[in-house]
Amino acid sequence: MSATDHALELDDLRLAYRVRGVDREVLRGVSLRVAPGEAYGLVGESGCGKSTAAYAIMRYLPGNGRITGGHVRIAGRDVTTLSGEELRALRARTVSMVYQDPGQALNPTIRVGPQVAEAFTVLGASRSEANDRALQMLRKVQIADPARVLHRYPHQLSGGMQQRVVIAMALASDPTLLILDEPTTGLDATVEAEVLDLVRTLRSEYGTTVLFISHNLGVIRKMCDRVGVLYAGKLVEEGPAERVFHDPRHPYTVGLLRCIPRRGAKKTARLDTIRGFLPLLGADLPTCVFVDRCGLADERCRTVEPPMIDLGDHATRCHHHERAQELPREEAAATPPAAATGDQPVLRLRNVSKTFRLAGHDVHALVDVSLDLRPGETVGLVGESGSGKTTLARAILGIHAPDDGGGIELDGAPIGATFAERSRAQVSAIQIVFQNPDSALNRRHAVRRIIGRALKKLAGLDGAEAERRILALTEAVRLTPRHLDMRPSQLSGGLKQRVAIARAFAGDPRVVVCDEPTSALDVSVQAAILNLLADLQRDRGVSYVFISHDLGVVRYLSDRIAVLYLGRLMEVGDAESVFSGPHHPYTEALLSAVPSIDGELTTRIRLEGEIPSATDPPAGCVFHTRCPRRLASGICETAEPPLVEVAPGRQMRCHIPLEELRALQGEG
Amino acid sequence: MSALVAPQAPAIDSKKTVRRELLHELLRSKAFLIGSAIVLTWVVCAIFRDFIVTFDPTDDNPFQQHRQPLTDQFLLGTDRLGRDVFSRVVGGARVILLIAPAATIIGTVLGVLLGLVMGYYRGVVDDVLGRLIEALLALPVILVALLALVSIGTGTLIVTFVIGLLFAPVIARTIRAAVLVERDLDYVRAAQLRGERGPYVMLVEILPNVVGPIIVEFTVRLGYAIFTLAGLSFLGFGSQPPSPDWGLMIAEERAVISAGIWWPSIFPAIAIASLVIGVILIADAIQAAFDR
Amino acid sequence: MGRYVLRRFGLAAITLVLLSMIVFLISSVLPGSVGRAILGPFADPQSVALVNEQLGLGGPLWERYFDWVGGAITLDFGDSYQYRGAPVTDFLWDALWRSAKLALLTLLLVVPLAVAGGAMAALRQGRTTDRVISLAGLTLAVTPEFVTGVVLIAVFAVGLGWFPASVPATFSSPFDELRAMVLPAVSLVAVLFGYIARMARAGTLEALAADYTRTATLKGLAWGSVLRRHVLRNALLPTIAVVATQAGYLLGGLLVTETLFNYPGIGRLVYTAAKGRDIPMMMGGVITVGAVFMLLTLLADVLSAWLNPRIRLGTARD
Repeated sequence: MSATDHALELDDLRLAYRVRGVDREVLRGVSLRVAPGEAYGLVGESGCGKSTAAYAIMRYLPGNGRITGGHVRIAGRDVTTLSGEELRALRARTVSMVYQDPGQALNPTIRVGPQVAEAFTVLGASRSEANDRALQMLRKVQIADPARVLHRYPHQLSGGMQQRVVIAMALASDPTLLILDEPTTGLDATVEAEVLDLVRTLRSEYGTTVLFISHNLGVIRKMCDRVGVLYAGKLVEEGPAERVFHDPRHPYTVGLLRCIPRRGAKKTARLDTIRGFLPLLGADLPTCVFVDRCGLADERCRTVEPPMIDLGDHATRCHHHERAQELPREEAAATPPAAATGDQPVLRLRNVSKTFRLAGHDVHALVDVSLDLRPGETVGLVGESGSGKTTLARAILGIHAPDDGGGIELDGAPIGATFAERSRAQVSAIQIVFQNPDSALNRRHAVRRIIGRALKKLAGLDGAEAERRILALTEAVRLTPRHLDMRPSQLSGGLKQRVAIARAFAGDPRVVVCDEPTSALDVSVQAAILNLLADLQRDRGVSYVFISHDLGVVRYLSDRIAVLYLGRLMEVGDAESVFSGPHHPYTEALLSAVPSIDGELTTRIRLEGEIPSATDPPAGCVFHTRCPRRLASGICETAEPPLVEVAPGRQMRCHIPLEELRALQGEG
Repeated sequence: MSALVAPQAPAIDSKKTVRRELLHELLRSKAFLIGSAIVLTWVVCAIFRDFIVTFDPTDDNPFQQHRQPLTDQFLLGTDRLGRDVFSRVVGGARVILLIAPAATIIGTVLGVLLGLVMGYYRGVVDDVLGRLIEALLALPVILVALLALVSIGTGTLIVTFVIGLLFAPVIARTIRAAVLVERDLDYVRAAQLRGERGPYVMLVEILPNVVGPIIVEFTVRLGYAIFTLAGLSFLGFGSQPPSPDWGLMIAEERAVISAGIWWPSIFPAIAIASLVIGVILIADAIQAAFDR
Repeated sequence: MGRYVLRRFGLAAITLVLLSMIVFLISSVLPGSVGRAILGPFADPQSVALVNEQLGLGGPLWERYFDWVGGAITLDFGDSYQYRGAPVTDFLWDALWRSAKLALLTLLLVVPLAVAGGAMAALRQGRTTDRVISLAGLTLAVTPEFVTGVVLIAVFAVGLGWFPASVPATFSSPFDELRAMVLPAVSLVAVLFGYIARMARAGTLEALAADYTRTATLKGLAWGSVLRRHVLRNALLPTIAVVATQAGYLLGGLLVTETLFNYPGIGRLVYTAAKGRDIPMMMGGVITVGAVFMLLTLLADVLSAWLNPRIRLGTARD
């Protein structure tokens, strides 16, 4: 094949950042080819160089970044040798990009119309022509009322709308190559699904070649024909998406896939992890880049760099590719089930509501939530952003006092509305693990001090006894005493989260609120933290309130699921039945929005529009404005359905009877 | 955006290396080295004044050699009372290097406490103090200082305290902003959720994390303290004659510049400028090092 | 937007009241000394008491405050001690007008220069141009006005004789007046240049590093359009507020500069009042300076809010 046949070709691309006078290699010779019309996915954990590769293709690098070798060819033209003017023309006509965080990518002081029109004027269109085409383009990306949106400022649009505008700009020139860099990261799953659908539709319409960059294997699986797995600046495996995910031939890909809770895995089956840590940026990796973390590594791996081995249309950079899937597990496969737990709820929420006053309006963040949490149980809270998950967690912790008329009971006894009104025992009993360990740990305090202070305040321990307990806790969260004298900046993200978990467990809590505890972590680290949380629960009988936007993770750890929408419980039930159905229409929409690595066919139902404002919730069923299964009778618009028990242990807030939902959702 | 931010040094650094890195960064900065050299020169002048001066800075020259130009005997000439300008300039370092740091320390301690309380408690405390600070900041420091000195009377101690008090609001505003950022981090919430009281959270949890802004603010304010004190002396409301104060020297001798007698005022002017610039160069370098 | 402006006005009013209290309290710390200050150290205590009585210094603090503030609202700041009973206001407006002219000249000189310098430094970040502009700005900003002033006088007035060293009492022509204002203005420009250039540089750097600038560049826009439409537009916003705040420092600088050049503005008025322990005159001058500063800040806030769609249109989404 001649080079001109490829829409994109990276040929041994090498790139380094100069940090304190030293060149640190970030891309270590990446070669890949994308055929015209193909969608190619680049996956990898943070720091593997995938975004760097994207910007290198656009030749847009920070001041200290430099392409040190190799070539980038777009439709046969070598980007690395273009003049400034040629490069500008290339960006205007041939390559476009869609970015993570569309809110930042749009200029806050210019209206949407002129910003989109710019993409046309740069191609030589006149002002008025550009404006007309901007309007057409907004229509193309399925923005409702595009004429109005043209006159909006970016901050007046939702995240999903902003990303549509960015996509509209990117497709303005009908580019040969479209690069999408984590385009849906940070968006709700429902919005993500819509944006991904849009990209697919437009791709089939325009026949654009796509380079799709994501850390999310499910998204890549859904969007891409072929996929490349990047590790430490090197492509370690490449092939058709379906092949790579079902028949991985590199130990890293194998390990990565084992880290993710899939196919309804439960917390009794431990997730596998990848040992060790990502190599430091620009570290010297003369042979196999993965050798230090690989369970299959032998002498040959340490001395001879594996070439890219061709396995038909699939290729891998491993000496032992034929037995990659025999990679030994780092973790035992199964754990003994948890001890039987009591029936008396440890935590009971009774009619908890929370109303905020905001600029003269009442915001109903929580409306009449009643929920029990049994000892040793995990309740997963699920819902889009703005559904009230975080407010509920904060009410439990006593950060927000519930409105009058509702209350929280611990072991059958009512407790103070705020943490300041609670006794030490009550404060110790309910603790939290935060999302971001960087923010949750005081960066000026050593680990010993962080855990020690928690022991003093939560368990009342001092001196030698405290020291003994510090060591015990350290061991329980799989840290070593060596870590105690370190500060958070010396620890990796996963280790930091372990410190935060140790702190939460210092006072032998009954309930731990886990607020997206793994969202800031890479999947391989996430697996270890999920295992740890499961172990601690089994050993200590603690209950979790678990919040995550990742439904796979929620399903893995939760015994029961509570689905929130606009501050109201829409559905509560044990995890298995909530996930297997029949579902509440909202739950159904959430579930069908999740792209699966296994490529299982999900009957997608679309959510219309955006989550309404909690200041002015819709009349009737609050979900009716977006509900795809809204009843024709009109009852959904007028009467709010009660939350009723539809099956043993299963509550739902819907006018449609369970059997009818079962029939509609077409499964048993 | 990850791709555009220059990659940071690896996270695995020990506490000592972090400090060493900071020092290393500073020592590589030309601004810091030049600034330190200037400031050190003046500190040496202040400490070893008596070994450096050739005449007593406040003594009138017995031989009545008024306004002598530069000679071997009078390195920088003499002033209208025949005092040796060189000795006075050297002696002036001691005056300013006593008052300026003292005033800055007073302002910083007060400002940091205010900033912590305002940033941490927010609400009514912040609103009331914030209004007050804004009102004070509507007035140029030198103007309020003048008003206060006229009504209270002047004197070294009073000037020191007035400048310190007037610097507190500016410092408080900076520290408050830093505290607001910290307050939103989860470690503060975690402390509250284990039952820590306000003073503990402010002093033990938050304070160590705002040391950077405090150091930067202290150095910057030190520069402005010298600036403001010199201005007050120039106006006649700082040090009083016969003190070898630089600002005062310029005020006393500036009228005769037009007669071509420039040395009694230009040398103290250079002294003030160099000291302030030296301090500000250090401040700028420290800020740059922290920002990295 | 209306709500925002209203709120800003309300807050400014509160601040102004607090300001008047601060000024009053500071100047009333030792009320008894006023009579003594006027009559001198050898007057008998009865006369001192009588003068204090006549000046209305007898009553309780709050009563005297309301007397003073009541007058101040109607722009009556009482009578000068120094000029035996002449109303402070007679002197104030003339001086304020003179200072305003000097300040305006200074800003006209410094703003375009500093904004251009700051933006240029940002565009050449880390290179020689940046270093020279940044270092010169920093150095000039921290050198006291009277130091630059003395040097300017030595060189341009005494040495070259281009400008007068001291502002004469009357001018033969407007051109003469302008010529007399050049040196004081330049010494103020020197101080302000550094501040404004630094802010313009920081604003430009931030806009250059922003994601929307990346979007504009990768859209294929010519670098000139990227700069004009995306970078400078956003960089200028914060600079407006800074210029207004720096106008406040300018007012402080006037005190020293006007004294040095003998320029009969509000700075020299306050200085002369301070020398003569003329407390009503000082209070009038100081509160006027504070009020003018707050008015400028308010205008700057409203202007930058109006230029920022996020504030102008609120954060509400469709």
